[in-house]
Amino acid sequence: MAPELIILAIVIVTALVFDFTNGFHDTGNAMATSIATGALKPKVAVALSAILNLVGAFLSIEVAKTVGKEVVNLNLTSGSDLMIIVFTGLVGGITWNLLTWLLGLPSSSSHALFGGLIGATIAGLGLSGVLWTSIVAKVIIPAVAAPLVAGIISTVGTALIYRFTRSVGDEQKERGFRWGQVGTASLVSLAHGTNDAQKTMGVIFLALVASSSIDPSADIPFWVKLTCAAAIALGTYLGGWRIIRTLGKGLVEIESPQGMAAEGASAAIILTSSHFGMALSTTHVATGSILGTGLGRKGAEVRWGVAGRMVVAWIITIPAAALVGAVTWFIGHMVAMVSNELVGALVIFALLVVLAGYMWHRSRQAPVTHDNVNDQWVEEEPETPVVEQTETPDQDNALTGTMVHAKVGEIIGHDSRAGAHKHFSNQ
Amino acid sequence: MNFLHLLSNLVPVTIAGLLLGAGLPALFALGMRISAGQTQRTEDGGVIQVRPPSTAMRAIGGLIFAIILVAIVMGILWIAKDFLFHMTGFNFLGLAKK
Repeated sequence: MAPELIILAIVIVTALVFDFTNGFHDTGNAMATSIATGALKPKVAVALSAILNLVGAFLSIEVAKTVGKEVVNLNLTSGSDLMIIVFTGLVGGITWNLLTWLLGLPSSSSHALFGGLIGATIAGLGLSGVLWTSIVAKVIIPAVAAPLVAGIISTVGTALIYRFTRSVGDEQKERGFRWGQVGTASLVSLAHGTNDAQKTMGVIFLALVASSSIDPSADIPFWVKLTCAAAIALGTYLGGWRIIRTLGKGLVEIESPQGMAAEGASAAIILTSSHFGMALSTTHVATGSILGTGLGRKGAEVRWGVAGRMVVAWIITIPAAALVGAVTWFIGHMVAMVSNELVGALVIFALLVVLAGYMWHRSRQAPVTHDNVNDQWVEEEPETPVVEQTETPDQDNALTGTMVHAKVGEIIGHDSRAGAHKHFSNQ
Repeated sequence: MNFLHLLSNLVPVTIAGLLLGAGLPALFALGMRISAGQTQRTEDGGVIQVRPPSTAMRAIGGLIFAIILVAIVMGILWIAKDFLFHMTGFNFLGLAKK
């Protein structure tokens, strides 16, 4: 097999890995509230969300062939150079997705992808290779707007719902809002499938075009749709329990009516915004909605510390993923100089596997699963010293240790002693 | 120019969001209120139903839930409009891209 074809295969596999991380990173956007309020059992919720993501990925045929075109000036690059840029950009996106998942932070997968591509493009083509105007218009402004708009709408919805149902019997309320939550959360899952799976389809398409395996005007091949749909559904089913926990328990203590208000707002915004020329990130919308639902209910507590950490993560998502993308590109480039491009790509892929394995290993030390996802949220007091727990955590108390190492906390700019780490308890 | 254009896009996004994202859930809550019957506050702060809703109220509530259901089905058809047109030739409200 020609080296270029092997590189293409590596790029496609990496794109599918990204799609997979996109799936489990975003399960919480749709299902965190239903899981937190008990409207759906955790396992049922992720299964439902996975199926709807799968269906959603097939539903829309208006495929985002433009994903690459929005970031990379395609006039400046082509062939295997472009493939390497796409590949290292994906590595940047995956790395950031895994790190934020480890920290339980719901950051935008689309931003991670864009960030990675931007970094790899700067490294490969210089600053002029990036289409900055397009990025400001399509990525930056929507990112600021999404949580604000979603927050306002969700606050209004929550206030109205509480007002209207003040004198409805508790039993009737419980039943009604359970249906309401499942319905709205399902819509968000469907919308997610139609939006996000397509981004990966677009990336794979770009790689196929770069390798001259396909005509730029051709339709997206069926196998690309099938594999992307399957990857995102599998990821969703795996459930990003750490992020689900933050969204469902960490940000606001959610009651059933709030769950419905938040998901209703998210579904409406995600589905209509692209129609009005402003594609908003699912993650930013969902987080804004959940925050808003805490503001709309009298007496509900919003944990602004958690919200603040999320905002920090959002702001640095693009630069951080870009940094990883750029560094990865340089590593690949160096290796390619002394050997060839194929070896460069293989070395980067190996690095990605090692990094992913390490973060997975870290996650096992304070696992969050469908069993403990709803445990009471305990915010660490600032003066409490961090309990390091690296070796063989006691099974019964596995959740009382730090979620991640101080090191990882420092990467996103937090003092490890200032409540950057959550402690779980088994109460 | 581009920036202002984008900001002006926020207005319809917010209005549509308020109507569908806050309005429909509120309508759902209203439907629950209408078909709640007569309720009473208990001493421990809960609310219990003391008399089921009348047939008329039940019907109005049902109508409201039906309207919401129709809105959701239309929403799904709207998401899937291009897919449906491509696969079956069904053009939802004439919106599908040809």
